[in-house]
Amino acid sequence: MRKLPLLLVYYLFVTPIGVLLRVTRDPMKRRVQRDADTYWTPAPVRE
Amino acid sequence: MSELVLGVSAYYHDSAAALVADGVPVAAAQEERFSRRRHDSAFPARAVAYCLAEAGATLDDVAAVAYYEDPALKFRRVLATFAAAAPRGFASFERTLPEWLSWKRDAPRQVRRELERLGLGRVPEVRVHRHHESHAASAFHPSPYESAAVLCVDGVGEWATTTLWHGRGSRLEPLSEIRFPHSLGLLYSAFTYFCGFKVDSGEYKLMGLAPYGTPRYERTIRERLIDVKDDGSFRLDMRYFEYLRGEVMTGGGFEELFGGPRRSPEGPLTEREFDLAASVQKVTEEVVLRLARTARERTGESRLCLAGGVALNCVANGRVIQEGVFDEVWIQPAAGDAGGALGAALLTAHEGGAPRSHLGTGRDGMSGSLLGPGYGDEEIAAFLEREGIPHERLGPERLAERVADVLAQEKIVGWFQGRMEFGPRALGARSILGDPRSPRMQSAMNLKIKFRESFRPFAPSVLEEDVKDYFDLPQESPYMLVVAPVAESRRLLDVDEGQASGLDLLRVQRSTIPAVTHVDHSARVQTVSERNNAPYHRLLSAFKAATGCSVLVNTSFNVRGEPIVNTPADAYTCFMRTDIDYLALGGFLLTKADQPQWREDGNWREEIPLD
Ligand SMILES: [Fe+2]
Repeated sequence: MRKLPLLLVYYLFVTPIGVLLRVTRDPMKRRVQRDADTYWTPAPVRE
Repeated sequence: MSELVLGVSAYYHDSAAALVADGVPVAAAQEERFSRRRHDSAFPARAVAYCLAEAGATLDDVAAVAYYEDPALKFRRVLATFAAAAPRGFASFERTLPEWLSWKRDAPRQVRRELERLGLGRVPEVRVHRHHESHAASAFHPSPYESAAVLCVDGVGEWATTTLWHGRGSRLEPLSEIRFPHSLGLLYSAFTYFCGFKVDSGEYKLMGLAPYGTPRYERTIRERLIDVKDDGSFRLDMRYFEYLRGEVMTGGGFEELFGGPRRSPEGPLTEREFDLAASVQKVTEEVVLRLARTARERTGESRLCLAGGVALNCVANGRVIQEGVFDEVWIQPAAGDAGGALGAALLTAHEGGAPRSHLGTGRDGMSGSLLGPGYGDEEIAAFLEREGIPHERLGPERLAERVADVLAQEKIVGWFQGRMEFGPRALGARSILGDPRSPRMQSAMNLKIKFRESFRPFAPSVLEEDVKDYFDLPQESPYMLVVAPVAESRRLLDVDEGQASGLDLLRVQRSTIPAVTHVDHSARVQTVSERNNAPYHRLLSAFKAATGCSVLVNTSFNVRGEPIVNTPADAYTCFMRTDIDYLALGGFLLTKADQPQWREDGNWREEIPLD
């Protein structure tokens, strides 16, 4: 039975982290920014 | 021996393998053609074995294996998505996390294990490339251009969903990108889902539906769902999309905007779906056009290379060409993720110093995309004898003449010649052909051969030298990835549409080649040259000699939901299951009327899943 550990991890770790991230820096950038000029980001530097 | 690199894409959809020798693609195929499971995502064991056999090599001869995306980076995106969706995404978390933890985050190790299991020699180093880098390489390296702007647009790989590159010589310089969850491919897929089609394969149907509708939802989409800047960059308003949770694409947000729940799969098509298709298609074209203009400005190049799933949107590609944003556009024929296998292999090869040796020949490096398995006449003869199949043996010239004759009598012909195409389109190696002048051909081929909805238009193949007589297309389109208007001179004036609306519009004859003319007078054109496909060029020339018409209807050799045929046996089965009248199998011609009764156990229609 793997459901119980997954449930615990999801609601005790993933959910609080996710909620915290959303209020602090919104990593998925869910809202549009009508006043921004562009949504392009520079390509990441390759190692 | 030349330096070989084996490319692999796997574990998402459309797994594929590709082999590159000194930087030149020599073999490539999708696993689905061997396993006969459409969009097969399993490790491409048989495609790998085929690629090696084609080159007469084993893994001992291969210098490196290239994998088409970075699974560790992708895993981090998957984790971030779990966090972003919480607490509403447990179902997807439970379903996908275990496999990510056990093997998916280290897919290259899994690739190594699977390759070892083939027993075809020692497995060399497995190198990982980024998803969009693989797309970009598949678009630029085989292109005929010394330098070009490169644009990749798809659903998502790791994080990037849209990338802009500058290709020069053997170098690809990344310029800018747009990241997940903001994705033009996923926007299109969301509408595909909402209109009741399958995500990752039904996008084509949505595009085919668009000309029947009016884009009355365009403003809603632009105001609520996607914010597009002048430079083509965009962001989606994620409050309206459900795909972060992983189970479905859309939900209540779409229902509110577009008047009720999504169409159920196989349910009736209504005006709403036509209009939704027209609207999202229009928005997509607008975004692609702006992206292309930005690509031109940022690179100063006059030529553009395209790849990524959105580059299969041939209507949008046609707009880019029609508007003259670039002097010329080249699109990778395997623009979807299967092409990532080839791109990854090319990256590794060119990083190792391989030249782009096709430059200066004026051609691209794809060999007409005929990179799949071929079957010689001796092999086909053995098959026909073994199965006791009645046939005539004809030389290439006589075959072309006979087939042209029966096509002119409105017969439908299965055309199986040479090596199989790499990429989703049939290009005259595994094709079903018909006479485009026949008003009944469109519905006959749809219903009696393909067993599918009749709204999808067929595509024309045209002799490259005659393309201007039939279509307004200022450049070649060897891979059938560009839609162009039918030339004015071929259109019928004063067409009476009467009371026709919706799908009935397709029955109205609008040109002298009605079977390939869509309701908006457009056609998805393939230009055929002798250097790319000599047998097919010979047939088109013979048809022109017999009828004066340089065009044929070309649709892929399969029935709905089934992968395109690979072997002579696959082709014979499809021939016998359908109302195809003749089958040209290499140098042999098979007549339906001469064939024995076809028997098989079970109902094959039930075994092929709906697409
Ligand atoms: Fe992709």
